[in-house]
Amino acid sequence: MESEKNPLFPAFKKRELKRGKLVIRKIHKQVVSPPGE
Amino acid sequence: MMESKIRGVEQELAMNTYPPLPNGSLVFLIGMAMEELKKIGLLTSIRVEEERLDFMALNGFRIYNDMSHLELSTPSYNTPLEAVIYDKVGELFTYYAVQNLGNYFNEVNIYKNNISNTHAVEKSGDSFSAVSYSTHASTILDRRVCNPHVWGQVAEALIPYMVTRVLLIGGGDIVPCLSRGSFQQCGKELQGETLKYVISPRAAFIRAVSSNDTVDYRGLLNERDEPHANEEKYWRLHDINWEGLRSPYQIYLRDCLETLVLMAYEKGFLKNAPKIANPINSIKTISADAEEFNWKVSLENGREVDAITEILDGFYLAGVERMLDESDSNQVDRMGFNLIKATLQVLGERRLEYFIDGLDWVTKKTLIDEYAPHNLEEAVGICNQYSLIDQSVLGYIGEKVDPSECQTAFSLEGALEFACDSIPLVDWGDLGLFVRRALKHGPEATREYVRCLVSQEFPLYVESIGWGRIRFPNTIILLEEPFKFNKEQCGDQLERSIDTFDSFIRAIHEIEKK
Repeated sequence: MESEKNPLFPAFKKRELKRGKLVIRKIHKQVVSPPGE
Repeated sequence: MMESKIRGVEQELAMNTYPPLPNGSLVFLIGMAMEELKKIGLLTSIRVEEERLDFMALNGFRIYNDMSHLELSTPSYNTPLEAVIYDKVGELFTYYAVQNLGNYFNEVNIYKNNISNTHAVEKSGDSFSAVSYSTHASTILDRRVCNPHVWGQVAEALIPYMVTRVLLIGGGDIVPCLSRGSFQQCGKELQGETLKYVISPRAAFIRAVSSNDTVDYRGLLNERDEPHANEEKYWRLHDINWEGLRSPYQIYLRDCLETLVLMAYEKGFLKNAPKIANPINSIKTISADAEEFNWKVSLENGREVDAITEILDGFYLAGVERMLDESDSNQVDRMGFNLIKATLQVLGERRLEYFIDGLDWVTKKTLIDEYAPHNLEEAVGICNQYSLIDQSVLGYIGEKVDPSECQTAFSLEGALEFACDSIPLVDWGDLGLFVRRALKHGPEATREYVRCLVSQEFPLYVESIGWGRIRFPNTIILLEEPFKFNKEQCGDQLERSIDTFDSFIRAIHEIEKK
C-alpha cells in the first residue's frame, strides 16, 4: 500500500476484533418487526 | 463536484419490547417514542406530510410512523462528512427516543437493521421466515437524463452497479434459505429450512430489475417519480436497497460511491456498461458468497467476469476517474475516489481482515466466525446485537457511557479508529462537536437552511414543512431548487427579517424574485 507516500491513500492495515467477551442475549436472537416501507 | 448533489437517507427501525406488545400496537410505541423526542426539545409538532405521527425535528429530520416502523429521514445534505454526521444524529435520536420507555416496559430495544427473522419448529423440521424493512437513499438528478422516457438507458448504465456494489455497501445479516442455498420468497416473506449469512440481506428480497413497488415486488431500480423539487428539472433517484450501516467509514464511502457514480452517469461517463445476463440472480449469488469470495458475474456475451476488477473498478471507477479528470473536481472528490479505489483494491485481493470495523458485513462475519462459528441462532443474535442502538452512541458526542448499559456488538471505538486511520481531510477529533451541533441544526448549504429557520422562528405560524414546500395559512414557500434558500445565498437577509412574520415573508418574496 502507498499510505506513507500519498496522504490521500487510505492507511489500511490488518485489524483484529477488540471485543473481549461477547455475551449474546436471548432477547436479541429474535427481532420481530413487520415488513416495511 | 459532490457538493453539487443534494441527497439524504431514510431509515426504518425495528422495535421490540419485553413483554411483547399485542399485534397492531406498535404504532402506540412509535407515538410514545416520538413524544420522548419532543420532551427533550429535538422534535417539533410541525407536520411534514401525513396527518398523524409525522413531524419535523429542529434539524430538518422527518420522524414518522411508516408501516409500524419508527422512521427517520435525514435532512438533505451535500457532503460525505454530513452523511456521517446526520447518520450519527439519527442513531442518537433513536437512542433518545427509547431510553426512557423502559419505564413502561421491562425492556425496550431498537435496531437499525433491515430484516426480521423468525423461527418455527414444525413436524417436517425447522422453518424460518423473514421480512424486510428499509434504508432508502435519495439523490436529486437532472431529469433530462433520468426520467421514464429514458429509463432503459438509466437501467443499462446503473444495473451492473446496483448488482456489484453490495461488496462495498452491504450491511451483512442472516437470511432464510432453502437447504440447497437458494432463496424462496412468498409474498412479503422469505422462507426457508435453514439460514445463511449474506453480504446484503436486501439482495435476497429483490424480485425485479426495475419496479415501482417498494414492499413486495422490489426492483434493483425503483421508478418512483416524486422529485420533491421542480418536477420539470429534477428526478429524485429513490434507491431502495441501501442497508442500515453503523461504520462511519462505510457510510462515508457509500455516500462518495453513490454520488460519484450517479454524477458520472448524469455527465455521460457511463456509456456501454457491461450487460449482466441475469442481474437478479447475480446480486443474490454475489451476496450469498461470504465464504469463498468468488464474486463473478456472467455477462450477456457469455463471458464470466470479476465483479470488482471488471465492473466496479474496470467500468464504474474508470468512468468516475475520467469525469474527475475532465471536470472541476476538488480534494474531497478525489479523496472519495481514492477511498473507493483502495477499498476495491484490497477487497479484490480478498484481504477481508483489513476491513474489520470498517465494512459492516466483514465485521459481522468476523464476529460470527469468532463467537458463533457453528450456531446460526447465535449468529442471528450477533447480527441483531450489532444493529442494537444503545447508550454507546453517546460516545459520538463525547458523553460518558456506562458499559453495563451497552450490549451492542458494534464497536464505536474500533469503527471510529478505522475512519480516523483511513479518511484523511476530516478532523475526526471534531466529530463530537459536529454531531452535537447537528442535533438541533440542519445542513446550511442546502434548502434545509430555510426549513430549519422556519421551524425555529415561526413554529406557531406554519402549517407544514415538507421537503419541497413550506405551507402557511395564507402563503407557501416553494423549495423547488435544492440549493435556493441556503444560508450563503440568503442567510443575512432572512436573519435580519425574523423580527416579525410579515417581514420574514417579505424577505422570502424578495429572494424568490432573484
